[in-house]
Amino acid sequence: MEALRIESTHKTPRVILDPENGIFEFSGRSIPEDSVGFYTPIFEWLDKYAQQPLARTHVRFDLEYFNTSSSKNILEVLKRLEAIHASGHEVRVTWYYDEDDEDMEETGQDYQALLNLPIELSVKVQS
Amino acid sequence: MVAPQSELLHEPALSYAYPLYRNMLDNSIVFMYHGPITPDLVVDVLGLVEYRLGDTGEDRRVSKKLFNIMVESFTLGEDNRRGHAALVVRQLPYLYSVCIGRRIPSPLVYQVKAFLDRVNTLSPDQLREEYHRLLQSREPDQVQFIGGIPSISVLDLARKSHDFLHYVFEYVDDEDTFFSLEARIRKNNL
Repeated sequence: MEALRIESTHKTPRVILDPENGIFEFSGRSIPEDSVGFYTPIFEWLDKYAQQPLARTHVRFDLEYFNTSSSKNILEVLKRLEAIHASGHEVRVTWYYDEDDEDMEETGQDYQALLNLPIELSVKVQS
Repeated sequence: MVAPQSELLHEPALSYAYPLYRNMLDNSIVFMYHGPITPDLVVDVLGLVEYRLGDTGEDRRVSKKLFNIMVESFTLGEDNRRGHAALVVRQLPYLYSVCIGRRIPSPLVYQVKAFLDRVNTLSPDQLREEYHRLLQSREPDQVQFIGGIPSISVLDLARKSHDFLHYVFEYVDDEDTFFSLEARIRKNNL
């Protein structure tokens, strides 16, 4: 299975789904013109990965800002990861947020509350 | 000398500039926009407002909150079928105000008003529960609308602002009403 790599733009996030190492990353902004159009290839890729996932998958979300339309799609991504986790394959999610961004922290808490998936909230280290 | 026809039909631009400038100054408006709302515009506007805030040395918690509220406010303005939206950002010593205005069908005013009144009665926990319900309720491409307004965006604004949502409906004509929604960020709430 090939990795999925989508480079970031000023309104869409960078997405790296690496099936060899089990490392997934979503970073940047998510306010796409067509939210469903952007996330559908990601859903399709995850559905294939779910057929033969690695024993361990680590997913990093490091988002700057996004709208509620993207929130729904991110929830769909997380639901797919939840299903992989439920099938006995470890999935660990790290949700990064800026220490000054209480809304991003709260969004991470929302996903923690809605899903049966280990989601760790982590303050970004300022460079 | 006869004035060109364009000048007879339209006031010279300079006569608009000063009233607009006075209005912006008197109401502490740091940004005004009228036109189509696209993701590219959102990014550009955030850049402009960030530039304005840079001069004032605003606290990062406040500016982050302002940006998050602006991003969601834009979602409420996305309906070009009834004309373009207006966005106004005000900066006062104790608060920021983000106001989005757009036309909605006049028959839907009571529906929108009832929804906003209900949102304004909800506690933070109730807002969270309702937001979670809507987040999970439908397919990702189907957002629940109330009177043409995406309800989850309204809840998101109410949660983020930690304040009542303020709104006004103004008569345009029998078909359309101009709906303005304001989210406030009180600096002492953060």
